[in-house]
Amino acid sequence: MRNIGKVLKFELNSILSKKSVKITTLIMCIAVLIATSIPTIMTLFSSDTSDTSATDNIMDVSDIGFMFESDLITPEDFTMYFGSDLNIYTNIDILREDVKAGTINNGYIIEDATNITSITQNKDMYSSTDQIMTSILQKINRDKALITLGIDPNVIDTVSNTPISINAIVLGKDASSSFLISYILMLGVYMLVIMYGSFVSTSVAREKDNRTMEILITSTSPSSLIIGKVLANGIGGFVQFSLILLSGFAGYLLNQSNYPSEISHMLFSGLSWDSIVIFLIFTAVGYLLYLFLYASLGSLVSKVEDVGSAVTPITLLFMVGYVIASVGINAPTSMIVKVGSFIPFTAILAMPIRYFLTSVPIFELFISLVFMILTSILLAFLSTKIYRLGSLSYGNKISFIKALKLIFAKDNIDI
Amino acid sequence: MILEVKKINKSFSGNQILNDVTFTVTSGKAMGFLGRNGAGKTTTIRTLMDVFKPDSGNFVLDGKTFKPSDYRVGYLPEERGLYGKEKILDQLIYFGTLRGASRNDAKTSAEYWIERFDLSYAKNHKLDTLSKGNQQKIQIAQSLLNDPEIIILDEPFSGLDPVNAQVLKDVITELIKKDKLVIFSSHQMSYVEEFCDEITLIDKGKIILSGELKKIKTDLGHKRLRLSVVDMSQIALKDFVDNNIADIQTSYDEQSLIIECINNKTKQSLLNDIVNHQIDVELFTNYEPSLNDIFVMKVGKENA
Repeated sequence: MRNIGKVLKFELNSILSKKSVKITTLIMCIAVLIATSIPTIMTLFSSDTSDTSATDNIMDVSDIGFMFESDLITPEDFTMYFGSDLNIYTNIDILREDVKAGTINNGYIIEDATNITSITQNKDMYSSTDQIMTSILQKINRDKALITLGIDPNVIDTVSNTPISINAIVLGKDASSSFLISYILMLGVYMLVIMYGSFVSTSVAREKDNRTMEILITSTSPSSLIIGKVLANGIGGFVQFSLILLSGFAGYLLNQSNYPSEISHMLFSGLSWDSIVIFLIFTAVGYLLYLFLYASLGSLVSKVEDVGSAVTPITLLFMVGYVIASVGINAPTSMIVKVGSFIPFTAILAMPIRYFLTSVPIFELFISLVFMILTSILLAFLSTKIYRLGSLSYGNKISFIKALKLIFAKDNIDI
Repeated sequence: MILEVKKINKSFSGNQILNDVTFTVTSGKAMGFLGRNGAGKTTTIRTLMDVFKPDSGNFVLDGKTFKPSDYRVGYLPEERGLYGKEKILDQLIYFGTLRGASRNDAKTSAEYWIERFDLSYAKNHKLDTLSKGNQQKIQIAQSLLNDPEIIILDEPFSGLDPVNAQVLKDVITELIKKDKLVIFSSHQMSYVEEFCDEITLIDKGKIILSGELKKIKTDLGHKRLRLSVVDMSQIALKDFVDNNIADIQTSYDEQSLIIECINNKTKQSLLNDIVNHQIDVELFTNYEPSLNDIFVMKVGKENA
């Protein structure tokens, strides 16, 4: 065990000096910086055009041609809403031609009180103009009906639009305020585990592949090697993850003024020191747990090419955790999330999500954490045994179950 | 130091690979551990290095059970392997420190051996960039780090050109002069013959011969003699001798005629016969079988 530090230093050096790692980190930091600057970029673009253009985009009456086929609806009914004169057509062919030529964008034939024909050159998925036309026509019909009944439509409008204000008093936690940050952190942890997990198993398998293993196990103990390796990859991942998070935070600070206040609220109002601490503890322990699991499976194969298929079960297991956590984001009080937050393999995501979004009793946190730590220790122990066992069986891939049987069958492997 | 290998047995899934392997190695003497491919050399060395546990038997060094981790052991595994993507000096320092040296000592030692093998120019290159032979030298350098007391080299000569093989032979000779305990395995007899003090021959997991090479050669020479004559082929000489000298049996190899005296005929009387026949002697000496001959003799020609 005394060589853990040396292994850690060598492995960490080797990770951090890798060109690929440096470049991915840089690219991801830049990508996050750009992503966090989107609100600023949006304001830059929108300030290029005049302010009125925004509303004009929605509805510019000069771009629309009208044709009235019924006496029930008259141009005057529409003029009320547009406040200017309409382009009135009397011949459908001319209307078609003008739309085709681009003189106007839309042509509307008001057939009667409930039927409109819309003519456009290219139709968007959602045509706001169509929606506006239908709602205007609905309103015209309603007003006419109300007037016939002798009721002033304005009175109805005022009554139905009276604003209601709600003051929510949340005694525990407000899920809506932590939603976004939970999602971001969950995604981050997901990437961290999947990426560095496969780093660990590849690095373990590579030693068998390039036959360094025999020199290593005759130079130091397998536990130093595995624990050093796992810690090195763990730290490497954490450094990368922190850099990306920091650049995200820096990007937010730089562009803060351009963020809509609701987004800022969603991002940070749910964060508190205790939730950050809980998040860090569960992520760190769960991350180590998964790295040891990845290291064990990496020890089972003798060739780097086989790592991908060997670690698939862990990736699936972690996906289950991810799905449970995703459920948790929408329904943090559901049973599946509660159960998931106690299973060591899913607690890494489920417990912090629960803590962010609801109130979790301290003893539940404690129990879940103890489970995770015990499982990590067990996996660390198993992975060193499997690693040592791997040196006895060059060439063939052994299954996880077979490896366990061998370990417990004969205790002739020194650690 | 005396290392005793005592009755080592090892089997893999029912196949007996080592069968009561027993021999002794003394420091200050070059021990060649010889056998053909698959004879059990590597398995013996791996059990010695504690890569595998033997099924039975033990290793004793100076009267105490030998545990590699208690000594400074340099080990060149048969499965060569270092980090291809790491700089040579960096990884040698790493291996040095893993075996307990301080960083500085490991660096000094690594640089010494890199220099010794003429690879100083490449010390900051990645291992992958070197040729196979040069990678092999780095492998050997790895086993010599930190001034080991015990050096175990599994097939150190394979992959080396004659010049580098000579460098390695010099290194091994030097280590032996420093009274280190050195074991090296080989399947190329002629390579190691000239500087083995002791040999151990293994075949099909059994030790068939172990001891001082000089003595083995004399014993297996059966007091036979070598004779060659100026301007006479071995065949012609054999004909002549068979017809003119009594109480001998003859055979020959590329080098000379080999004569074995029978019926109590002495070397002296044979020499008298030779003089009487006025043969122009080029060589007359005790016959010592070569390592190759011994190997063939012991293992059988078909296996050599």
